[in-house]
Amino acid sequence: MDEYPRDETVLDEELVKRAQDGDNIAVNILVDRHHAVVFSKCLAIIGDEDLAADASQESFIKAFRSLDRFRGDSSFKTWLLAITINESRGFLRKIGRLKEQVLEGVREIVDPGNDPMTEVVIRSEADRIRKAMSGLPKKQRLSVMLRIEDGLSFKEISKIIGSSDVSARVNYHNGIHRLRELLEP
Amino acid sequence: MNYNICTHIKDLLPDFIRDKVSSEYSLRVRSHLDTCTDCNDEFLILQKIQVATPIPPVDLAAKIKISVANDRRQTYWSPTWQFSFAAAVIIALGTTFIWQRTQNFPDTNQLIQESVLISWPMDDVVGGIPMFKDLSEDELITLLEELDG
Repeated sequence: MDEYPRDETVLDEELVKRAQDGDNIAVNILVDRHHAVVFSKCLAIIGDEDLAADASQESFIKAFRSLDRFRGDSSFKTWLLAITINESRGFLRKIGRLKEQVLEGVREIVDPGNDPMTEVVIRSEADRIRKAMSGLPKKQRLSVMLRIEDGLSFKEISKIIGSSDVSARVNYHNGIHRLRELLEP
Repeated sequence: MNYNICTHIKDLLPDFIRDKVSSEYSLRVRSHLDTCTDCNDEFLILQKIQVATPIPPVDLAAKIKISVANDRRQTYWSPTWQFSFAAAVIIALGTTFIWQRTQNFPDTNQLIQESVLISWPMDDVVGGIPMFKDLSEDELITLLEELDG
């Protein structure tokens, strides 16, 4: 029985505690909350939608297997993303890819109310941005994604990509600078 | 363009587009964007990047939930857990055995003997030596006659 609401009023920390006590509803809520960002990072590193979905599953499985070792030094999301990025890199090595890449033409957020022409324009622009993103060095790409898509602080990003706060900030700004050059009309 | 202000604003832009800054800061950022082309250009790029975020397959969350639930069930009775359970039982039994060995329980034989010694004069008034030792010869003969009679 669902004993608590699924909205943002229940903090991740509370859900993690319940999940540690074996509560599967808490596990499901955490999956609902974070699967999109996990998938996005897997896709950014692996570059294939199906494999990214598999890597997302593996990332969650590994995270919940080691949930007892989560001590709350960082947020659950930061901890989960660190696992996700390691898992994606491992996945990439497993399937023998030589280079991390971003796949073109994946789905993007579109408003169902858009007319077909608007949707074409949005998809085209999204493709252009993803192509530009795929041209960034790995740490710059991850810093930009984690800062913009996930709203993480530079401190949190530094933990995930394994660098200092300053380095994460520099990577982010250099990435944005490069994207602006690539995307200028 | 003021380098310091622009650097500060650009640091804040990702939070600004996610509505994660206070209303006061939001007004400052908005006001700055109206006057600074460079920061406004960056703001537009960030908006595009945010919109270009891929969405996961519709059934991904459900698949993850099933995989995680199966894994948590298996993990509960995995060989590791079974081994841990067996080890815990052995340790518990061993600890109990050692504890019993180290306790100073009274010797059972000694307890029985003590019981006999204590009950002797109470239960066996006639046959007990302690009851006869202070009797005179006449008293003893009288007692024996009573018993025979």
